[in-house]
Amino acid sequence: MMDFIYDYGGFIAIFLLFLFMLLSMPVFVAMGLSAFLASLLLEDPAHAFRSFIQISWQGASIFELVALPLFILTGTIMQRTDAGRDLFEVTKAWAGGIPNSLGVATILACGIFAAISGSSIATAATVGLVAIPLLLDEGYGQRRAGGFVAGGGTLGIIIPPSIPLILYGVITETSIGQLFIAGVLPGVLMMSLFLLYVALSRPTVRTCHEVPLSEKLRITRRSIGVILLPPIIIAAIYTGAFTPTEVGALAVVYVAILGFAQRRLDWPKLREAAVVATATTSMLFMLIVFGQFFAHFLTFEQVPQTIAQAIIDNADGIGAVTLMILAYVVMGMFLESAAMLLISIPIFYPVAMQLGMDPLVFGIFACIAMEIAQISPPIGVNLFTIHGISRIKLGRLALGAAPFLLIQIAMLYVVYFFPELVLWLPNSMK
Amino acid sequence: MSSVQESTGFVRTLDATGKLMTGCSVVLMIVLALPIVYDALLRALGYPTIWVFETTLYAFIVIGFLGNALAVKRGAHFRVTILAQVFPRAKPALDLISNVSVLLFALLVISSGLYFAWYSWSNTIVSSTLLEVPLWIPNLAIPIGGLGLLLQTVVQMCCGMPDHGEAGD
Repeated sequence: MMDFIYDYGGFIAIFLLFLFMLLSMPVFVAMGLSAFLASLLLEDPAHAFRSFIQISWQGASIFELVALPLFILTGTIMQRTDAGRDLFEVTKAWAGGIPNSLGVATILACGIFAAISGSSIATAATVGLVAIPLLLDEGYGQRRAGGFVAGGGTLGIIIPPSIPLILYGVITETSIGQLFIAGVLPGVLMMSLFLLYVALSRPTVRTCHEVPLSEKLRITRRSIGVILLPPIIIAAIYTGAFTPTEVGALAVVYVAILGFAQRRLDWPKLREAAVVATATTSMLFMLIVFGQFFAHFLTFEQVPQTIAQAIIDNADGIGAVTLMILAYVVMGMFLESAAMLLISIPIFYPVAMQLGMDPLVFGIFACIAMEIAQISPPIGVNLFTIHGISRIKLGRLALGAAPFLLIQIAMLYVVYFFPELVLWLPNSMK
Repeated sequence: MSSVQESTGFVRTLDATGKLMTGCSVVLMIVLALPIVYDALLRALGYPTIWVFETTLYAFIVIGFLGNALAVKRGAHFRVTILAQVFPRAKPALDLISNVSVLLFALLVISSGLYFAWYSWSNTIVSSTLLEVPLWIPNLAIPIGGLGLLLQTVVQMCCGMPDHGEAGD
């Protein structure tokens, strides 16, 4: 019996994790308790107790994590200053008379808002609130209206700054600045594919939003402070002028000053934004701290190495990648993206390294897989967010988001077969 | 189930303790960016500070642990609820299992956190930076955060579970 426990301690922890999650325990509790109980089976209880707190403290005291609350707060402030409405007005004006122009404007607004907030849910909620009623009015139907926003919202994960990329960087000790820059080209390509699908989707809506150039410029000027922020963030990180954490802090101060100057932000709204950001930060913090403890236990028990070897022995490169994609699609059906990242990366990272993937390439690969989780039924959080603000049925939303999900799966293979797409920009960084 | 206002003085005291922790973490959240911006600007001018890196990290840790009371109150901690959806009649039992597990885990966090802070204090462990901060001070965030998790979960058990997902907006 003891031999079995010694040989399979790591797998016992994985079994307990899934059992506890199934029993509705909060995921951070399930992670911490499963690894702690499994370590009690293997070690002296006093040693297990000390390891629990020492490793958890190490997981908490990582300076790069300070960027998390800063980008979260930037997003929550932006939500309260009507930035989503302004961005949508700008993209609507410039989308003009092309087929399905309002749908195209929705994806563009999602892309720009994502590049500021770094959050998929914040993007879907903010743009969706403005865009969905207009899309419905123009006859796109509930399935497409909700699907466009759900799909567009996922761009928040890959276009920098990105909260999952910060988590990935911390877990794998990869440069977060390089990860942000690595996400730019795949993010732009993905947004272009989304735009292409939306423009070609049927039935075509031909409502013209053509406005004179002077009016376009006036609308754009009104939002220029927000529109300029994404290129400034990317340029600041690309040139090495500021670290991602400093850029996050500058972004908070910038959007707060802009909001106060435009009289769209006041102290009660700032407080409300901080309250929401604090709750989200604490939720992510607990997942990270005890997720790191869980990951450390698995690594100590050689579980990732064993799984990696089993996959490599039984599948070639494309087969192994397909297995990982399938695993992510299945996990995405019942796990939220941060939890999915913290559970999957310690296991799949060694597989990716054995396949010869660069850590930056696998980071982008994993984050695209996280996007799939956001729009996969039954628990895709973007679907729930949009259901919450529009009351469109979840089934219809899932159908509307399905084409975006297929594009994301295709993008996973593109990233694997063409790693230059990811590596070109970070390799040219100063 | 009743609201906090209708509850006993004991529950209201627990809730007030949670609010105090929430207040501290929200204030830290609002001011967190300022020293980092100050340091970034000074660094650009060639005069980096020696205190910002460490103090903001500790502030972040305090936000993370003390924010637990708020996260529990707003239902922000993510749970898989598939079983409760498939078997609605099992939901009260699953909620009870979930709450009891959180209470046990909170006790583990409090006890291990107290041990960790005591160990740092009794061995005079300081940070390995120029500031040489006694580490028992930031270590105390762990048991205090665990206490917030415990107290707010007791409040939720007395007054009902919150709707999930509020934190994500």
